[in-house]
Amino acid sequence: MIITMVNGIAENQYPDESNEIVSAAESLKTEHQVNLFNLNKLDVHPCSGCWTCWIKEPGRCVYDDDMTDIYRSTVKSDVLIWISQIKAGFVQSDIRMATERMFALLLPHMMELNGEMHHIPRYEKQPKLGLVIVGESEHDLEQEEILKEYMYRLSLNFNKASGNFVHYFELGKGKELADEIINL
Amino acid sequence: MKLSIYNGSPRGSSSNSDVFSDLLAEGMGNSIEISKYYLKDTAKHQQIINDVSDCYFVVFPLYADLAPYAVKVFFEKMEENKEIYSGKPIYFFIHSGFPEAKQSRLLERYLKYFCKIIGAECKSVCIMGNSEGVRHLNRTSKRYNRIKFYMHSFAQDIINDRQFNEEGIRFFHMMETLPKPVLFIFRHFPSIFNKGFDIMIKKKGAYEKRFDKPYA
Ligand SMILES: Cc1cc2nc3c(=O)[nH]c(=O)nc-3n(C[C@H](O)[C@H](O)[C@H](O)COP(=O)(O)O)c2cc1C
Repeated sequence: MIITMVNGIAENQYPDESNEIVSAAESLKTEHQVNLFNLNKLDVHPCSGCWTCWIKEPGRCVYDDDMTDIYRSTVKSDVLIWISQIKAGFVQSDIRMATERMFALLLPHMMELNGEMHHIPRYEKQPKLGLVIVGESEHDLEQEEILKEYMYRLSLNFNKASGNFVHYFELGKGKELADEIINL
Repeated sequence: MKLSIYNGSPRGSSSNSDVFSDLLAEGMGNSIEISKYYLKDTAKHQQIINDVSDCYFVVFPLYADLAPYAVKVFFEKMEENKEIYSGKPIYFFIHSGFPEAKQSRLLERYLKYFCKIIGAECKSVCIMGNSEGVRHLNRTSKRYNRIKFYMHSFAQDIINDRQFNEEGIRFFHMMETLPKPVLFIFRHFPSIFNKGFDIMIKKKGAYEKRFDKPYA
């Protein structure tokens, strides 16, 4: 299995959780290929809404930045994991930036899915999606429901609703996270 | 009374969002003071927040099922400065490329939750589908003038501290989901709906490359 992990947590935040998540990723490496990207060390631009990737240079984002490596890994992957803290009640903005850039992996053309309009994936392989939330052991139900609905909708858009999860990470539970990823 | 208008589109002044915000401002006349800001330059966010108003109008497109990056960065800044927004009314106008309002319901739910977090009053959320062409509408077209009429009516609602009027909400809403006959045609003949994209790609001379996979 090929797993792409995109980590939005900065180095000085949640160091214990981050170390444990990295260890969980390392443990998966014995049987799987894991490509881990730390967003805070990368140069990634937000989408400018220019439609170059849809109309002018099909499939290619106008920005040739570090997102290119994330694209190359994602289109080969079985699973794509976002690792985020919560800010303003939702996934942090850096993770959102990388997520909106993923529209380059879709065609502009549309198809019907669950009675809704959605874009057709450009690549044959569409990874299942996971969202790992750090630092929210005492979150409220409303937040959890919003995130679950969000991941379902992202999965409609990016993998024809073939699979997704939201995982609230707790210290000492790295093994549970690794299990959830491989069983997705 | 003072109103701040925040335009969260990454396209800034050439966005569909700008048409909505300009029409809203136009509908205000000279009755209130207005500050208008683009959120796409995140370096200016603190400065924008420091220009305090009595109420706020936030307009932006649906992006990957939520808000564009710069809007999310701005919300995080608003959270850091939540005392400024405490108890104040915020009006949202959110619009999407797909026509169904259903696609924006999650965002609507999040906006209400976000306002709770910062202690602001989520006064109204208006959802509009099928917004992509709005910025290219002829100013004399029927559609543009109906949008203008209802944005002006929303301006009056804000001035009078009311929620957006039902008729306006209904006009922009268009459809919750695709009507059955449309869904049937779309399911069986999607090429009818996709023709517009092919024409645009052809115009750019990229038709042969339309299914390219540059990152494979
Ligand atoms: C990166 C990206 C993501 C988008 N995501 C969605 C989406 O999830 N659902 C949708 O209906 N439209 C989506 N759109 C379409 C925009 O909402 C639509 O084009 C809108 O009219 C843009 O408004 P603006 O000109 O004010 O930026 C997306 C567009 C871009 C470029």
